[in-house]
Amino acid sequence: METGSGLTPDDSWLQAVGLSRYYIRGPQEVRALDGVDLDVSRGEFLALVGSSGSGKSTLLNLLAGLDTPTAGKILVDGEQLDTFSRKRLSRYRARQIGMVFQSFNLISHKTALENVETALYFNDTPKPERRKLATDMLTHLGLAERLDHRPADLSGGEQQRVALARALVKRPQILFADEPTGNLDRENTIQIAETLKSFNRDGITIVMVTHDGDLAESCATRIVRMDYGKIVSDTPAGAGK
Amino acid sequence: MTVADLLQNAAGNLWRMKLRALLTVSGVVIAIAAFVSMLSFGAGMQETISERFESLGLFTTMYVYPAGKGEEKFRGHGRRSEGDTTSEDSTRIDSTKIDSLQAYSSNADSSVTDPAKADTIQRPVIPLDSVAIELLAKIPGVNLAYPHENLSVKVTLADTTFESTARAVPVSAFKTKMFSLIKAGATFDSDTARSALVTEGFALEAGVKLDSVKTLIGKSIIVSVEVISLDSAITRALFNRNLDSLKSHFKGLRFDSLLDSEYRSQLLSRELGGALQRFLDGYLNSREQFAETLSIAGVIDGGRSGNLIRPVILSVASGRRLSDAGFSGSRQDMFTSLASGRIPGMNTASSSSEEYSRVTLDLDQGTPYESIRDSVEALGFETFSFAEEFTEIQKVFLFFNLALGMIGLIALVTAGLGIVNTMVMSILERRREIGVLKSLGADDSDIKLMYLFESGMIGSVGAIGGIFVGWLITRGASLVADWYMSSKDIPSMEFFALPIWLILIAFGIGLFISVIAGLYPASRAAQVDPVQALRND
Repeated sequence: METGSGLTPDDSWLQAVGLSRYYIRGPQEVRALDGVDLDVSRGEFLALVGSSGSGKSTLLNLLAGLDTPTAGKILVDGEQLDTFSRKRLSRYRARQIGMVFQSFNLISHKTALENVETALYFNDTPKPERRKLATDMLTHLGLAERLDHRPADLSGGEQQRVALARALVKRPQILFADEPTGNLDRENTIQIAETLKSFNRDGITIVMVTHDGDLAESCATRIVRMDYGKIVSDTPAGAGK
Repeated sequence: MTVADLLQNAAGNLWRMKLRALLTVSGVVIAIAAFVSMLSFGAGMQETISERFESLGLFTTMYVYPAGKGEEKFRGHGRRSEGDTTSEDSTRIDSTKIDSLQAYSSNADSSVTDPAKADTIQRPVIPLDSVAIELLAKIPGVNLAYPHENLSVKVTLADTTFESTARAVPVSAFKTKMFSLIKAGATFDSDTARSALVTEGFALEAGVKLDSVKTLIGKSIIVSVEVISLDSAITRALFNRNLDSLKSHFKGLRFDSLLDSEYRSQLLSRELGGALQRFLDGYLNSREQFAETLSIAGVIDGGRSGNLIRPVILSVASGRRLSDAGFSGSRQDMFTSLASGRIPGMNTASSSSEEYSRVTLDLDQGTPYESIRDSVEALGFETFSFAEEFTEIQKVFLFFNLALGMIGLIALVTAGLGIVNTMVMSILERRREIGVLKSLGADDSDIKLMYLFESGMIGSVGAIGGIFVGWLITRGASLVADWYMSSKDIPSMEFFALPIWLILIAFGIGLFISVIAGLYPASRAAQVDPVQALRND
């Protein structure tokens, strides 16, 4: 298997070693992820691409600490994530990572500002600071006029930008984006891709799941292709062209 | 998350589902209102009785009886002394022997107040007379000791006559709280006064409305007792035959047989039996009336709730004249006479007129009644303390309140189930939100706290509403009771009270039940798997 990072092991910040995730569906065992090895280095923009059911979202959830592996281990800055207590896992999610989803997952009864502020509830940001950080982030993403709008009053692109603001407002070390443009039109897709690239340039490591090969090529620095729960290729972006 | 965040979040979520929250809160409101109104009734009754005791100075009043007779004196509430001296080897002493007791009292104050020591010493029975009263008055913490006599009397006011009871007290007793609530007129100022005080209860009995008791002042009442005496019995036994009956009686005698011893024996037996029957008949049925005409000097509060204050208060002289007139035949008077060592019906004016059936002690508020009780009992008397009785009443109220509270708690448990239902529904609807919060870094305890704050807020708001509604219910019930009592010319009385402890308990229980009810939903919410919750359907 080709390694596309071009980085030495010392540069890797997030590592998956022999990572597997099996589910029991009735009498059958489903191998959603089957012995995956992956290194993610600081500052990388890694795109996980593959067809539906290839295991890319499962890998993302495991790396984000939302799910626990059946086998293998995950190392974050040298510490084994899958041995963290539930409390420590929560702290990892609260302080070190940000997440963006295909369906935005904004809290429908909260305004854009309140949704972004919610991300700061769990990392001990003082209350007066929360509003300022949230406002600044939304303004930075061009939503200064939409602070008090509820998700239902926003377009798909705006909602995803609010979701991005919520993920990035706590200045995470790594952003996990699961099909961030899956529900958006071309124009909004480009806008979100530019935003992601911009934050990557600012030093935020990004792991993005997408089935859109063009999007992966246009913004990622490395593309990992998955199929049937395994990594089938790991190449630098643009290598396939 | 800070407490402020949790409160804000809970308020926001409840506000969003207004109708459901309102219905759930209503359940708590009803339950707390039931709890508050029921316990408010118990608290009100307790407070009213306590205030009544306080206003009459009963907490600082103690009755003293001769040893072994206390139970007979106050409707069975007497307390037997620990160092009871009614055993066979007890010695009844005369007043002249009281010097030794005085010496005991004066040189051994510590032993008087130390029941442990008193128990080890055999105390002779001493009469409850003026010397004993002096001794009682010297006990530390006793402000005043005075005798009182209760009498069953008939009272005539204008053309109304009714059965009543009277109490003779010295004027010094008017300094105590029990007689301080003068509604009209004034107390009399001499122990020989031909005046009387009457109570509001007396006024009602006499058909006088409470707002016009002033009209009684200066009016004359005739207080009378019907007495029987040995004199009337002997008279009837010897002479209660008319001439015709005597003639026919003598005609019936067989004088020629008087020499026969058997006939003489039968005749003697028959004549003695008849005389005894006539004696008892005369003793029990031939009554004489003795009356005192007195002027009403004042009307005092009381007499409506039991017989703590007798309807008619007499001077010592009037009381003595009425009690010395003879035996009324009542069971209570019989015990009173026997307790004083008198034969019922015997004129006692010249014999043991100084002995009393009971003495009232007015106590210093700062002295514990227990120490005074022990000192009195060490002297060989029995006591009855209202403060002690109130402690027993409080125990009854505790059980009464517990029973009422249990009924309220059943309603609260039902309301708690309503909270569980609401919260579980809320979790099902907000699964995705819980998943989002977990992906943002919320840990299990954050999620639990969020739901506990929501259920706690339902309980708190419900408790506050319930306390208010409960208060409204008690006010309504109080108004109805007032209206009913005034229509019956009964002075108003507060049946309900909402003391701060009841408010705090009601709020605490409302909050506690709701938090308990929120535990299961909160735990379930904390266990939501974020991956499942965030899965795209």
